[in-house]
Amino acid sequence: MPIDITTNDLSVRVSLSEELTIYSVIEFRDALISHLKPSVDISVNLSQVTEVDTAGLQWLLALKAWSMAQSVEFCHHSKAIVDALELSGLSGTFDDTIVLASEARS
Amino acid sequence: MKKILVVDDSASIRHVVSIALRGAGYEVIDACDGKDALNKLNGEKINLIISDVNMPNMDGISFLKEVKKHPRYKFTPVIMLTTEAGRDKMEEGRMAGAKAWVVKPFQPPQMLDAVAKLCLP
Amino acid sequence: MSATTEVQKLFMTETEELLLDMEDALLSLESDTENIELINQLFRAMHTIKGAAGIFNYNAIVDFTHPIETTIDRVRKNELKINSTLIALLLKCKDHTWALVNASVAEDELDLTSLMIQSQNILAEFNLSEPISPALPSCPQPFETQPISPERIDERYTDSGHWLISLDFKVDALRNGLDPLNFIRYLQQLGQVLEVICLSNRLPAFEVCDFESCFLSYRIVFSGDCSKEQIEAVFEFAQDDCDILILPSQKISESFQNLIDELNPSENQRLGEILLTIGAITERELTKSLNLQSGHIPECASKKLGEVLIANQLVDQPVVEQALKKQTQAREQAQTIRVDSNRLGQLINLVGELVTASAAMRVMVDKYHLLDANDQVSSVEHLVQEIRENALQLRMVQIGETFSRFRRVVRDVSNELGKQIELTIQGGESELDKIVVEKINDPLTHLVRNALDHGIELPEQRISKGKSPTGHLMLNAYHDSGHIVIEVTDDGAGLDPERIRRKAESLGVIEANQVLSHAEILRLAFEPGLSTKEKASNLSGRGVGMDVVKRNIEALRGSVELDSELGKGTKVTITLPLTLAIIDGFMVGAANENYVIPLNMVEECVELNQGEWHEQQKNYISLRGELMPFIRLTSFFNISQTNQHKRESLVVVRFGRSKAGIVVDKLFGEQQTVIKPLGKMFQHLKGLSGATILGTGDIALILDIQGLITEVSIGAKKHHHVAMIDD
Repeated sequence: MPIDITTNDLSVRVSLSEELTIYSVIEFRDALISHLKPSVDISVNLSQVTEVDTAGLQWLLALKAWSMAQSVEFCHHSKAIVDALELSGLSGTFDDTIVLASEARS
Repeated sequence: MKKILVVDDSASIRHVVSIALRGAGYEVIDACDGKDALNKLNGEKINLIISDVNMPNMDGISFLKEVKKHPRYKFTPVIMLTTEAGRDKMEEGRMAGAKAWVVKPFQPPQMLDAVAKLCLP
Repeated sequence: MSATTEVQKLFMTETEELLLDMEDALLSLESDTENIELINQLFRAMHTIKGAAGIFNYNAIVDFTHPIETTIDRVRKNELKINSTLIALLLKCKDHTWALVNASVAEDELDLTSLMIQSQNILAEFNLSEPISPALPSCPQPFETQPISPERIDERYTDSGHWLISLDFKVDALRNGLDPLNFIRYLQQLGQVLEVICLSNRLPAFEVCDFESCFLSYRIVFSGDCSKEQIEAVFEFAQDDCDILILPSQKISESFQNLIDELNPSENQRLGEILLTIGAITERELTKSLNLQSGHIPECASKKLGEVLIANQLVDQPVVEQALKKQTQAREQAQTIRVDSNRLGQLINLVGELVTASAAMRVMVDKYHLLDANDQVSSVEHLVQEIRENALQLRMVQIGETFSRFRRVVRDVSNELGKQIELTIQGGESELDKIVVEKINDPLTHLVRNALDHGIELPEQRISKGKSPTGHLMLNAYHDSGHIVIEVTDDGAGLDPERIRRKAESLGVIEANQVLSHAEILRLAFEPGLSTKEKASNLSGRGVGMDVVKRNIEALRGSVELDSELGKGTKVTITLPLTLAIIDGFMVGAANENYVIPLNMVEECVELNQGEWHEQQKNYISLRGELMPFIRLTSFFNISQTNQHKRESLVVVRFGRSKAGIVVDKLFGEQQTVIKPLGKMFQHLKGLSGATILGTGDIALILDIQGLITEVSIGAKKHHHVAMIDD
């Protein structure tokens, strides 16, 4: 499954791969929703995301909004993610959590 | 690379369009009618469908309706091709979910521009 | 960034306390959810902070706290139950409010930007099936909390010809295969995407959001060498699934206005066509708008179309106005004929000759008492009079066009100098002779540039003087007794009489102890060499050139006056005759000579023996108690007197605010006077502005009343002055 979730009492680690698009967003949300609890730290690893569309951006935005109370960290943004964010003027919104993936951005 | 499915019963049109699209940097699969097209949609990633309206076996509108039911392709953008005379089909197509139209005869650059507006390579 | 003021510190302290109260209340509510007192405490906190923030214009805080206040109000009214989720959310709000307060007071724009986006997201978590209160802006933005508008974007991209593309995607957009990201990439290929703002305030909460629907809007600042039609074409396939507005920047809007201005007014061009031609609207926009207004009455169609276009943000109001003006111009032009102005000049000359010939005819008829011919001659005279008036009318143009040209000048110069100047035009419909209009252009330009360059101060200077930062310049024109008066008024720095005086003294124009009235000092500004501006600017040279202005105006038989108050402003009043060719005159005689006084300057005539006037001192007369300077024509022109003081008459003339008396021997009466200019040799004769040929063939000299009055006033003062010293 392109979404991988590992949990313990204190944190939820999510790893997304392949596409974060209109075809996968609902699935990703449904998989994650039960793990979203107030006192848990969440980190979402985006390094394997190869394709992002607007539906995917909405997913990220909604999750980020949800994250205001808890800590949700997005990390290792893949190039696809960074490009999509920049294109839609959202780089600033996700600025605090952009940690670039291992390959340098060209 | 973005992949486009071209569906038209005219081989020459399929040929011209495919060449133009490949030249612009897309990958192309083609089919000769609706049925053939559905067979070719077997799970691989398709970014855009270009389909004629008047085709034997399964016409464009019916094909479009089938596509819209397919879990893997229901959100794929579709460009319908029609002749000037067949403009009345546009409304039907629009109801079925086609948002883009190119009227025949068209020039390749025109087609490429329409494709680019929905899906840049 | 300015240091925090006392009152801001007070605001922060107060807010901190209120937020602490809020936190306490929330924590207590966890175990005591029905406690109305605690809920009230919450409400008070948000309500008070909102109010205080409003006073400081901290809109980010106001916009965030308002819906929270509303929600808490609903809890108060038992429409909403308080539970742990809501409490958690409100705690989040409390923290966020504090962050907003800090950023607002520190004026940290960057911080505020991201905070405001977070505001939207937090607010989105409140109960979404109910509409969020109206105070929540429909399009939150990075820098302001008013909806993004072209003006706001213009403030940040002042020099560019850019467009603001507003895209509000509808809920099925994504399902129909559209992707906003693709449109943005396409735009990048078409031109430059300067900025993209993504608005996600419609986005529901993560748990409930239907991600296949589209809740996003975009505002894109775009610049490119392309037309509105081309930009619209990018979204060709998105028309059903997106509300699209393409708004021009100020610069582009102005370029539309200029394009309209340059259009050749062609008959029957409809408003829509004009706008379509210059690219201010697209075919689709026009069709849509026409459909919208198709219910209206046909004759109101144009006006209504304009309203429809403006209301739907398809065109700016100034552009529509410009187009309507062009339409009017076209309609007017359709009813006009172009005439070579030389031919018109010739016609007027001939009319002049006709007037003279008709007068000669009258003289003959009277001389030989040809009573039979009287009626015919009278009707010929009458017709000649009408022809004269009509012919002169042909050459009259409105001064408004000249005035309007200054709008551009004012705008360009204000920008160049960094000043804010507003131009008001009044009396543009006043008409005057075309030739006068052409010749007045240079002096007017000079005066306007003076006002812009030296008169009106920089905004900071104005503010420090307690004035509004925007300076005002007014051009006004009106008719007054056969003349046209043009006023150029500014509320700038005014003239400094001390400086003028000093300069005049240093140039030797006046003596050190000479007593001068305020008006006389100001008049000195017209002396050559009197520029009181230290530095020349490339705009108006050495600051004044008023002597040149005066000379130009006097060459038109006009006059110019200055009125100014230091620190308040300056008004320049130009008076010009309505026409240069033929005037209604009043003929008088002195000795054997005939003179003509422009009729509109004649106030009254009084015969000597009536005892109403008598000479006082050397150059004053008293008329019914009123003192005025006077001249005796025979003395002034040095003609030998034939009738010593016998049956003299006094003609009282008025020019502007000055009055004077002219003592003559005979009063002849009204006389149509065709003005013949004096030959070059006689141009500088004081007191004369031309000559005319009478019906008898004799010559009458036309008096230059302005010149005479000036001479007389100065002369009278001098004598008065001398007389006083003698005493």
